[in-house]
Amino acid sequence: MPDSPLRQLSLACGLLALCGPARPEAPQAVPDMSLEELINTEVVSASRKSENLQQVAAAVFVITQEDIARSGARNLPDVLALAPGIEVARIGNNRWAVSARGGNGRFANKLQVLKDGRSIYSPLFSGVFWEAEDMPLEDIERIEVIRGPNAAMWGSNAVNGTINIITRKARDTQGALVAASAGSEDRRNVVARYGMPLGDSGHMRVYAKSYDRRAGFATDGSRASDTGDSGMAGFRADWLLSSGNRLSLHGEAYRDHNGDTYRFPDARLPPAYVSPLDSTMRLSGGHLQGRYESLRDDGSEIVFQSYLVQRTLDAEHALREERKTLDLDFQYRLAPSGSHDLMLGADYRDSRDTVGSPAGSYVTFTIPSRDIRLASAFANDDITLVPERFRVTLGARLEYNNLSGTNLQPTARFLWTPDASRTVWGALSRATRTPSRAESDVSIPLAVVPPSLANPLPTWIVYQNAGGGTLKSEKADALELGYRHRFGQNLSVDATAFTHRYSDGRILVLGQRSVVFPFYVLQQENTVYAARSRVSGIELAAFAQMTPTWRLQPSYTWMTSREYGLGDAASEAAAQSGMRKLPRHQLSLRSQHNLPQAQQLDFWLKYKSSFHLDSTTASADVPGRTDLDVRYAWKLNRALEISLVGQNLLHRRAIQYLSDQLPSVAVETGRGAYLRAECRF
Amino acid sequence: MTTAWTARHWTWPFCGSVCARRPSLCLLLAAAAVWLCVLPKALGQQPLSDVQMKAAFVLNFIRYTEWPERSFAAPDAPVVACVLGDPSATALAGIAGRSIRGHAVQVRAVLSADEAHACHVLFVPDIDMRRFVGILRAVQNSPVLTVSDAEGFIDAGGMIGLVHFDHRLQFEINLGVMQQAQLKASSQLLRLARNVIEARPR
Repeated sequence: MPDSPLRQLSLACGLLALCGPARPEAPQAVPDMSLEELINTEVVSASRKSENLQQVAAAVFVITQEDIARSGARNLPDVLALAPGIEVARIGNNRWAVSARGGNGRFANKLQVLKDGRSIYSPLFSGVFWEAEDMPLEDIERIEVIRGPNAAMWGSNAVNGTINIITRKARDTQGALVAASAGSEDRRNVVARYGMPLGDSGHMRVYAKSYDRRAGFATDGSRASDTGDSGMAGFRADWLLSSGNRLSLHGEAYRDHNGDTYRFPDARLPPAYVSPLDSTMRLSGGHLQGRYESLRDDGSEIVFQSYLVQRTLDAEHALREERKTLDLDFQYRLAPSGSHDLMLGADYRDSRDTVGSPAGSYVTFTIPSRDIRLASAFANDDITLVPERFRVTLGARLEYNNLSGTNLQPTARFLWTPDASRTVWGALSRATRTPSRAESDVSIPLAVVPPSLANPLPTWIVYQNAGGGTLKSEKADALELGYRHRFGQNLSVDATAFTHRYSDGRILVLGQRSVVFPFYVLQQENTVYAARSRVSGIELAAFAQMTPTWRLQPSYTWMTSREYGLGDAASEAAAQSGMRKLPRHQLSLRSQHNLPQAQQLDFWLKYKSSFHLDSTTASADVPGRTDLDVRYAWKLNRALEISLVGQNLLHRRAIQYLSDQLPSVAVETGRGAYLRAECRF
Repeated sequence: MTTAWTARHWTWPFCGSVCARRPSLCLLLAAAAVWLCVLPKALGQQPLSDVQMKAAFVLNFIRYTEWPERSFAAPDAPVVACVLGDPSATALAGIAGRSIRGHAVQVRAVLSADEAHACHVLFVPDIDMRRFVGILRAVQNSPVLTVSDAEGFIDAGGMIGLVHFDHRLQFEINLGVMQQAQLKASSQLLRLARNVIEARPR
C-alpha cells in the first residue's frame, strides 16, 4: 500500500502510535427504535463533525451551535476562539483583535468575514469593527472557519483566512426564545426572538439583542473608560417559491456606544506630550439583504445576492464616517458533467463614504469623500481525477479596485483520500489585501520625539501619505499541506502545516520635514509598499469522545515569523532584532461533560505564549497567559435552562492586547462571572 | 540529596525547564499527557453510528407512510427501497430483509428515473444530491417516497429530509410534494417532524 509517508506523518503527531491503524468499517446492524426514541437520541461522534470536512482541500474547522452554547461566550468574536489557529484577543472589554496565522490587530486586515454571504470587512482601516458586529448567537447555525488564503472563492482580503457565519433558516427558529444574563463584567445581555410561518411555504423570525458591558481595568486597577452598550433588531424571512427556488430577505438595524481614552501625541503640549482625551465611539446603521437560489433539474445552480449597508461611525475627538455600500453578487454552478464541477461568479461593490473630522481633531482625511469601487470575476473547477480517491481544484479570481488596480488571485489544490478515514490535501495560493481608506488619505499623529542636544525642538511624527502616493495591494503566497484522520466513531485528528510569504507589505518611511518655529519639527511619514516577511506554522486539532458523556477537544498552534529588511541599515537591524511579533504557542483544551438530569459541566483552558506587540501607535511586551473558563448548565425542562459561567478565572486582571491605528489607552480584562436563563416556548 | 538529583534528572528535560519557568504551561502539558493516556479507552466504545441511525429512521418512514393500493402487486409484496448510486455507502444497506406491516424490505441500487419509478422509497445520498435532482423531480408524480440527508432536501423537491439539529438527528417533511405523489403521511410522522412545509412541486 502506498501509504508509508502518510503513516510517518501521523506518527509525527504522536497519536497514530497510540491508536493503531484504522479498522475497516464492519457492516452495521440497524437498531429497532421507534421514531420518538430516534429523535431524542443524542448523536455524539467525531465522525459526524468531520464527515463533510473529509472532502475539503483546505484548513477548515466548523463551529456548531452546540459548540457556541457550551463555550459560555456571549459575543461573536469570543466565539471565534473556539476554532484552532484563530487568535482572539480582547483589547479591554469592548474591542477585539481577531486573526489567523499572524497579522493580528484591532483592524486585522487579512481576514475576510462574511455573515450569510455579506462581507463585514470595513475599508476604513481595513478590518472589522467587532464591537458593532455582534449578533444573537442563538441564531447561528454554524461558523465555517477557513485558515489560509482562498481569494478565488471568498474574494479579496481572504489572505490569512475566512470566517463564514451562517445563520439558521427561519423555519428552524420557530416559536419564542428569551435568553437573559446578568453578571459582573457582562452586566446585562438579553436576546429575544420570535419565529412564525408566512403562508404555506414561508417562514420568518424577528429578533432583538441588547447588552451592557462594564469597562475593563486601567493599569492601576481602577475601572477604565471602555464601557459598552449596544442594541439591535432584525428579521429574516425565507420563502420556498417552488421546488428548488428559494428566496430570502434579511434586515437589521443596530447602534453601539463604547467609551475610550485616546492618547494622541501632541508636540504643542508640555513634555510627556500627551493629554488623554475621553471619547465615545457611536456606531449605528443597518443593512438589507436579499438572496435568490435556484437549483434546476439538471443539477445546475444559480445564486443571486444583493445587499445595501449603511453605517455611521462617530468617534468623538477623532473622526466621523458615513458609508453606504451596495453589493451585487452572482454565482452559477454548472450541471455536474463527467469529472468537472465548475463554478463561475461575478461581484460588484460600490462603497461611498464621507469622512469628516470635528474641529481640533487629531485625525483628518485629506480627501473628504471617496467612492471605492470593486469588480471581480472568478472561476473554480473541481476535477475528480480518480473517483472517491483523488481530486484537483483550480480556481482564480480577477479583481479590479479603483485604489490599487487589477490583481489576479489564483489557487491550485489537491485532495487525496486513500480510504474513507484518511485525507491528505495540499494547496498553493496567492491572495491580496486591498489598501484601506485610511492608509491612502489619513493624517494622524504617531509620536513625539523629545528634544535632544542635536535636535533642540521636539519632533512631531505624523503619518500622512502626501499626495495620496501610489497605492498597492499587499500580496501573500501560501503553501499548505494538511492531513486528517478519523479513528472510528470517537476520535479524529487534523494537522496542517503552512508557510505564507508576504510581499509589497506596507512600511512607513520618513517623508517631508518642516520646522514650525519656535515650537516643534513636523516630520511626516509616508507609506511605501516594500515590506517582505514570512510566517510559518503548524496547526493541530483533535476531537475525542472519551465516553458517551465526556468529550475533549484539544488544539495547538505553533507559529514563527521572519521579516526581511529593505537593504538599508536601519530596516535590516529592525528585521534582525529577532523580536517575536506573534505568539509562538497557542493551546486550547475544551472538556464537555454531560452529567445526570440534563446537567452539563464544561471547562475551557487556554494558553498563549508571550509576544512583542508592535504597531504604529503602540509597542509593548505582552506576557504569556493561561486562562480558564468554566460553565455549569442545568436544563430543568424543555422550556428552561439555567447556566452559570466563570470567565478568565486564573487572573484577577491581565492585559491581552493593545489598540493599534487609533491610540487608545491600554486596558486590562478582568475575571468575570454571569448567570443566564434561557426560555423557549 | 539523592531525591533532589532524581527529581531533577528523571523529569523529561524539556518539561523540567518549562515547569520551572511556567508552572501553568506545565499544568497544561500534564493535562495533555493524561489525555493521551486515557485516549485508547475512548476508541473501544462505539455508539450508534450516523449510518445506523439514518437506516432506523428510514424503517420508521416506511412504517408511517401509506402508499396507494396500486403500488403493491399483492398485499404481501415487498417494499422496494432504492438508493441512487451505491447502497453500501449509505443508510439503506442494513435494512434489507426487515419486515414492515407484512412487507419484506428489498434494497436496490438505481441510476435512472425509469428504474426509480418502480421503487417505493428512494434514498438520495447527500454527496450526489446535485447529480440526481433530475431523477428526484421526475418521480414527483409517482408514489415514491424520497428521503435524503442532503442539506435543504425538502427545498429541492424532496419529501423527507434528515437534518442534524441540536446534536440530534431530526427530520422535516414537504407535505405538498407528498400529497402530489398520493402518499399519505401518518399523523405520528407529522407530529414528530421538526418542520412540515407545504410548498408545491413544480
